[in-house]
Amino acid sequence: MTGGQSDDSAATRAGYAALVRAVLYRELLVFVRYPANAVGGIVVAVFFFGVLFYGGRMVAGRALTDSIEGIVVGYFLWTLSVGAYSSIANDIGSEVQWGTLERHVMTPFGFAPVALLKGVAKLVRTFITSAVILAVMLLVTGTRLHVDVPTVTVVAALSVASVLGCGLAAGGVTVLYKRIGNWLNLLQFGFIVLISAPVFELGWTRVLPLAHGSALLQRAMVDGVHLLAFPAADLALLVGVAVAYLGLGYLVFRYATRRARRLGVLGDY
Amino acid sequence: MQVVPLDGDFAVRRAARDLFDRRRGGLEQRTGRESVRVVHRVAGGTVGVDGVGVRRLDAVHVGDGAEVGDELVETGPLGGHLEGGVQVAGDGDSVGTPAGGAGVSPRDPVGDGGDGQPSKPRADPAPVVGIERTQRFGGARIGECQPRRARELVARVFDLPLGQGGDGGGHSVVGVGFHGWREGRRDTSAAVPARASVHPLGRRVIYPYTQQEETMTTRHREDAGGREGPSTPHREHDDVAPAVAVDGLYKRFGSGPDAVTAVDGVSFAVERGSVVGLLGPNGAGKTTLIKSIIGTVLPDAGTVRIMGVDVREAPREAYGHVDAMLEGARNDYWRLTVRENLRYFATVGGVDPDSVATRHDRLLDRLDLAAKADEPVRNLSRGMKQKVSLASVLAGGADVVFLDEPTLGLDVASARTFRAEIRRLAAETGLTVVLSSHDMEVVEAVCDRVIVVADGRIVADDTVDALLRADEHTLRLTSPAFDADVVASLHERFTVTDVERLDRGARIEVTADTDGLYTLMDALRRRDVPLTEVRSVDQGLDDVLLDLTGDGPGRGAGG
Repeated sequence: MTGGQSDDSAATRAGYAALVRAVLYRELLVFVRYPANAVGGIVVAVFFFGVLFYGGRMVAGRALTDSIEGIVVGYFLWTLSVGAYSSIANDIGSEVQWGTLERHVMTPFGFAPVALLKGVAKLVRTFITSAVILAVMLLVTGTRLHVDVPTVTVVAALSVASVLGCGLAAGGVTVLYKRIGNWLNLLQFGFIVLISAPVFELGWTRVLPLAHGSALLQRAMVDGVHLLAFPAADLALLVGVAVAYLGLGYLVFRYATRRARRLGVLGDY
Repeated sequence: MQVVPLDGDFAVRRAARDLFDRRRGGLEQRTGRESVRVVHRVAGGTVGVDGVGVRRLDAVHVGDGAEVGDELVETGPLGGHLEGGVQVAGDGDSVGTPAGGAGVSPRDPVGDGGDGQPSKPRADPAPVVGIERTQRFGGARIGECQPRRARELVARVFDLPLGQGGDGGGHSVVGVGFHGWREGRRDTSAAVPARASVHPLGRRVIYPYTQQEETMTTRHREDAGGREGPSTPHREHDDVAPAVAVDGLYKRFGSGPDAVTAVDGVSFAVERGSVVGLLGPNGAGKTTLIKSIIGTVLPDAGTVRIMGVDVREAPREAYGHVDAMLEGARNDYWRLTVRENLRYFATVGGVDPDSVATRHDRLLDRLDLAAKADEPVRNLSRGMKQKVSLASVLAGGADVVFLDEPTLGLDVASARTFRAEIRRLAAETGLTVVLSSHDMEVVEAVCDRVIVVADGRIVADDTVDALLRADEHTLRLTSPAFDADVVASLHERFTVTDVERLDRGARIEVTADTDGLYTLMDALRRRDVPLTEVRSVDQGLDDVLLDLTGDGPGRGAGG
């Protein structure tokens, strides 16, 4: 904008850094100002884990207890994934209802970058809530895990980046077909399959979202493998999968929003 | 080139309307000359045009030098656009230049004066610039051009740095003579310049109608918006481009027999700092038109330029000038406070919120939101939310804002504040506003101009006054003495739009301007016609809208 309104002649342009700050700050404000949402999410997640843990122990007994570290790590990654996925897919539906979507489409930064950034902001928030859930899970189960923060953060973030790509694609489809959003949420349960994919037995599953990252996160948190101790090929594959799905999701999102603009359904609900 | 056959008034009107239709919004499509042959002189070289307003007769002034058979050549970016500027081809004298003077070429404002340098060769020997709109023939009233708009138009035509001061990149300083016309006489008290032309300082100008002489001084330049000052670089053309220029916009949804053409070849331009209303019935295509302009709907064809920037070539730059309030109160985050919304949307709009903090304070102040600045929007009333919505749209300093039903659901006081703020912003800050509303009160109070859309097409594009025919009045007269002879006599002299026979006499509707009404009354008095009822039946804007969009009862004879 050039500051057509002459009230402020010193208006300066905002760069991407300012946009990042604004989006993150908004997320923080909502998080802090409305803690019930976050706390509710944590309670529900912990409740389901409790059901899973205690119910499973009653049914499977020692078998479950022996693999509890893997379950905790997997659950942690699942909560992260669900947060990342739904952040974009659901957020777009909300923005449509709030009437703010079109304002983000008109931004000089471009809609897709802003949507991605909003997803990242939500991901940061999800990291915080998932960390709390992880801590509660460790307390409940009495399990000990290696939580090397840089390693866990990098591996988990790269793992979840592929899901962020899926979320972008789903968000794009939601822009086109608003009511489909609820159905797309069911895909979240598919993440459980991906997280527990047999990457050692079926090597090709490593290129699926989450699968390879889940395996690396297990090794990092259960076996205590440091980030730099992973083979370069594993890390490269992790990055490659993340970039590929993120890029693919980005392209789908762009295509879908463009098609929605062509069909005139962008802001409809 | 278009040559209209010499078959009378109708052909002129049709040709001129075609010319208008082609040129409207075509500011960026100056692809050679087009012409229309003068076939009918009305008075003083004025040609009748059934133009933009559809319902009324406009006129294109072609100058005293124009003769029947001359060709009017439209070359400038104004021609056939909003103000109907038309140039006279050939090397004859032209309106707006001193009698016998050399004139100034649109692309060469130097002429022969000022700096003592030899004149540059003129690229165009026809220096007429008509920024003019006649509402009626016979010199009844001419001139509906706002000073600000006139300045910009003049600046654009002549590539002058008006408003920035200086001598325009080495050109000699110029004065701009404005003359307003009312009732056929020059009206210097009128703040509305009917026509503007550019002359070197020191030149003696003889105004064509009054033959009054005047020497161009710096006052004329200042009047036109220029200031004394150091030389400044020549302004880019884009600096004076319309805020919004839409050309041939077309949008069709669906295919086959179910296809709906929502926007059908729409062209128009919105001058900077103006407030334009977009009216039309539900389903007329207003919202699609707005969304096509701001990019949330992709048009099938046509071009959109915002502040001179083509949205296809540079979408981010173009949309950086724009913000929109499309959803009324649901246009911002209710969980954030008022001020947080302003900061957030300023950033999303591409402006550092810290750099516009003062603006935000002023906005909050002017919209009576200061006391609620730190309140979450969800806690506010609907009217307040709507104001927050407007504030957040303005927070980033957009040059152009689109408002869709901005006063929907507001109480009277809030709507009044809202209207006042929009007007103030446009007047004081140069904000351009395009608003769509079914609230005719808002449109009448706020808009400089109204574009009426029906079935995806523009059916009228004019000032509110012109649409309302503010200079015309319709009276419904009832008299037992209205027999066939009297009515026939009135028909001959006045515009009788309706006649209803009664048991005794008749009830007629007569349309005339103020003078015409006096004449009518005198005529009736002379014939001793007693009037049992006199009632004004002037139309409101809603009537006009219904009439224009085909949903109204119409005003034709017989009702």
